[in-house]
Amino acid sequence: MADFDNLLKGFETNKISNETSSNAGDNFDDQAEDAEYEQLKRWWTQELASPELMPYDEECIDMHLDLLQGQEDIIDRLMEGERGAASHSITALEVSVYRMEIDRLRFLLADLARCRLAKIEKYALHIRGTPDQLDRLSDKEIDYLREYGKLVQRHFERTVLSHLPKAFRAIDTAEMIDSPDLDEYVFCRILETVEIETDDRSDDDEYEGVGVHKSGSSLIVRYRTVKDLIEEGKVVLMY
Amino acid sequence: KTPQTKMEYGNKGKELLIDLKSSEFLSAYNEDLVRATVQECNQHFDEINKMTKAVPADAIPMDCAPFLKLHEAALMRNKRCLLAYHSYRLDKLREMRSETANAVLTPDIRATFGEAELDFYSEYDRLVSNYGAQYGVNLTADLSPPDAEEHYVQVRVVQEGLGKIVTESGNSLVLELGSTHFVRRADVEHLVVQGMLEQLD
Repeated sequence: MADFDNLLKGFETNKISNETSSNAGDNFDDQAEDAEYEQLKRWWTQELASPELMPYDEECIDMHLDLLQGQEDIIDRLMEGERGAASHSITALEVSVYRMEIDRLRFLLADLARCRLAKIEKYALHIRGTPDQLDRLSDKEIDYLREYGKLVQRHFERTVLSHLPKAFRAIDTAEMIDSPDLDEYVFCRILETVEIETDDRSDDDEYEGVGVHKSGSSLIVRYRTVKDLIEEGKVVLMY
Repeated sequence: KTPQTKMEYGNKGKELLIDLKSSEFLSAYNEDLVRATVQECNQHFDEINKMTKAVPADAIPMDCAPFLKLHEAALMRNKRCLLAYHSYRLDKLREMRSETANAVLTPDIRATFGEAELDFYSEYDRLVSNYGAQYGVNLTADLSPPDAEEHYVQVRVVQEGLGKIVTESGNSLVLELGSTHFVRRADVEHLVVQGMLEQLD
């Protein structure tokens, strides 16, 4: 259909002109964009499914924030150009498609941030005391952790601790710190054939020790067992 | 010498925890009970002090040990209950901040929380807003995945005096009480959440 072809051409031209005007300097090759998006989406899934914090991918976030801004700019330009343009309905469609993409992206970024902040708040003391966990935070998240910690500490001091005897005012002794439950069971998908060693003595006797799991299969297992494999990218959590 | 025995070991702390369960959402901040629990802690501490002062510091007789341990345990238990009580309530406050898009608490909810807790809430709200602003994405928006079907919604104005607004997409709407409009969800989401517009399914 000729009209549809024109419409698609319209998309191409806009994307090319965006490349020169945006300062992100990223390549706007469709394939690469999809892969980046898939990466963000996967991170979001992992973050939701995992009991602990996932490592922070600064490049991914920055790139998508730039993209978000870029898309908003495109929409603004399209809206301005719309007045008096003969292709009003095509522009409206373009705008609505870009809008949908923006909504989708914004939701992912917001939900990802919310999920991470929730974990940071929940395990604040644990994260503060574990360098490996601190490494997983972005700079802004570290600031957040510090401020949040101060806020909570002040609150407890005001309501409880300052009224107790001096010797009993600590809140960060080992048994008071909440840490993520790494023994939680998770659903996961195997991407690369791996050997997994489980030491669940409570399972049936026939499933003891080391098992080989083929790529493409799914598994329910304790998070701790596959933790390293997830970091290596060989196993992926399902939510 | 028999130390004075208290019958209240950990009782006040227990009452605090029961208080948490006594209402579906949360009961009002029980300042009296908190104070009583703290007082119980301090009484245990006084008992410990009385005992340790009566003997030389490095020669506490063995038969004092169980009493000291008991008082310390009761104190710690109460402390734990106190912290749990406050922590649970903080969790509820944080939950509310993330579930409602506007940070304003309704009066009856405000009445449930103590002064310190309300201060916490406004500081917390500021903290999260700042983070969102720095990050570049508003964390109280986009609470659910965008749904292509819900792109446009029908809403009715249920609050008076809203006047005319210009939406993000450039349309202007006259929000007369009782009028209905078919608009982009994103344009009016914040008004629906605040209760000024009602979404018609």
